[in-house]
Amino acid sequence: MINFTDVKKVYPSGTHALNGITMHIDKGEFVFIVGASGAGKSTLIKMLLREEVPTSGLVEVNGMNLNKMRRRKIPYFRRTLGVVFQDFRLIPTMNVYENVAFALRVTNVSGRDIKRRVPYILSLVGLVHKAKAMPDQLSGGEQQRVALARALVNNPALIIADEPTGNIDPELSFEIVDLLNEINRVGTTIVMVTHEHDLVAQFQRRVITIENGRVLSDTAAMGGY
Amino acid sequence: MRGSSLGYLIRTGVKSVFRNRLMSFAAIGVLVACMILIGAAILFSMNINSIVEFTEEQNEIVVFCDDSLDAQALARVSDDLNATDNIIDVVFFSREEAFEYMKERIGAENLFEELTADIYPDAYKVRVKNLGQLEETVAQIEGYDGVIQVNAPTDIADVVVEIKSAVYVAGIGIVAILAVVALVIIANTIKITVFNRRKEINIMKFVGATDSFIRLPFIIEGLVIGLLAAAFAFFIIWGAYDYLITWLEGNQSMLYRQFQDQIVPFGNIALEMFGAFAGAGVFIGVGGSMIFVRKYLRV
Repeated sequence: MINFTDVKKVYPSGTHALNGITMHIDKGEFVFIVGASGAGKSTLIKMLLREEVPTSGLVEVNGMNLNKMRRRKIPYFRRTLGVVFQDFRLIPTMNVYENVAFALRVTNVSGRDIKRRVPYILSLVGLVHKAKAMPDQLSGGEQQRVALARALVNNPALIIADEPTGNIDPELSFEIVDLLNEINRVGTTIVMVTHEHDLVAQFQRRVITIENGRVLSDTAAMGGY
Repeated sequence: MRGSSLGYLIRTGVKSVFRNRLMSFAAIGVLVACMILIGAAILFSMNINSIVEFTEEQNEIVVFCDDSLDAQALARVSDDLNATDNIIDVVFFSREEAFEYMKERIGAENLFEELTADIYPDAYKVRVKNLGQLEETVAQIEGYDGVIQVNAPTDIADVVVEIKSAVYVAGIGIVAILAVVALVIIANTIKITVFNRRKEINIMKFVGATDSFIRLPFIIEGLVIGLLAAAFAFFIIWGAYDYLITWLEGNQSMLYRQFQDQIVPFGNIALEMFGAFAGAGVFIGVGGSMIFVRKYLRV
């Protein structure tokens, strides 16, 4: 599902963000990626989303070699992923329903299928009753659930969550990760970047720790989660 | 792209104009202001040009013929004049008419009692199209058989030609400067509009929207804004121009009475002006959106 082979990234400013990361994540896994600020987590996410390409090394996601991917193929690659950001990134001029439907519209799904799929996904995240609300009328937790619904609506094999609990209350954070846990139970691979050690400890999943652009530890390599 | 998607994108583009009404209003306002300034400059220089052309047409050249010419020879001179390129019309002015004209002008009838019309030569009065070529035309006429002298208002001609070229250069200069200023202001307005929505573009990129899917609503939005601005500018300038003419008619100043027939009616250029406004509006709206959205597509 995800293969990083000796991935290095040096930005034009001279910053060495990644210094040879090698990791493998299988289909159906739930992996926490943790590390302090500046450890290289953001660059790693950018690599996964094909926002950046490595200076050297190989990045493969969902069976695609991202190093060699042409620009016009990127949107089609991204449709195989679901992405959740710390700042939710909902379109402020669209209501909840439209924000979720938008991810389907870009993939040319018919209007009939959109009408069937969106309410179902909203029911999974418990927001059917807020379908017509605008993002600024929702709490942080609700906004993140909308973002999660949008990430799920295309039925992706992989969900990448970049600090999804960073902007919400601790009790709601648990709810969000629990939701991700449920999604993982039906076979979706989850990669979640976080620095909240309590959450990581509560869920007992594989943890990859990044420091100075390198994998410092990987609980899978240590023989258990 | 599926038909329903295209319909959705077009609807989204049109809705965006109203959703982002503050920025749409700013973009339309800037476009309207620029179009009005340019339109007013064009109308002003067209009117000045029309007045100068009218003045130019008031020229009169007198071509004096040799006394010895008979009717046939005079007709030949007339044919030569009519065949000359730069001449609008040719009117015969007989020695008898000249005699009567001078008698009337000088007023002292007893002075003419013992004289006959033979003291004046037969002549032709001609008007030229282009005063800029007056000297060449005069030289050409002086070369015709039977022509003894040509009287032409060369001094006035020089002044009119200078005014005309000054109006032309100033008109083009003002319109060009306004167009450049307008483009800079409009480019910045569109840039701000797109900048305000960079997050939206970024989100679209991460859910897998293709560049054309992201661009199309912006292009439609640019198109709608361009057309709305063109329509507003056109009707405002039309109303203001008609109001100004009505006001001038009401005041009946001497200058107005002198040149009232030379005022260019708005109907004469309405179609061209609307076409130019709409074309410029669409070009700027669509072109600007395409250029500035491009920057945020590189994610």
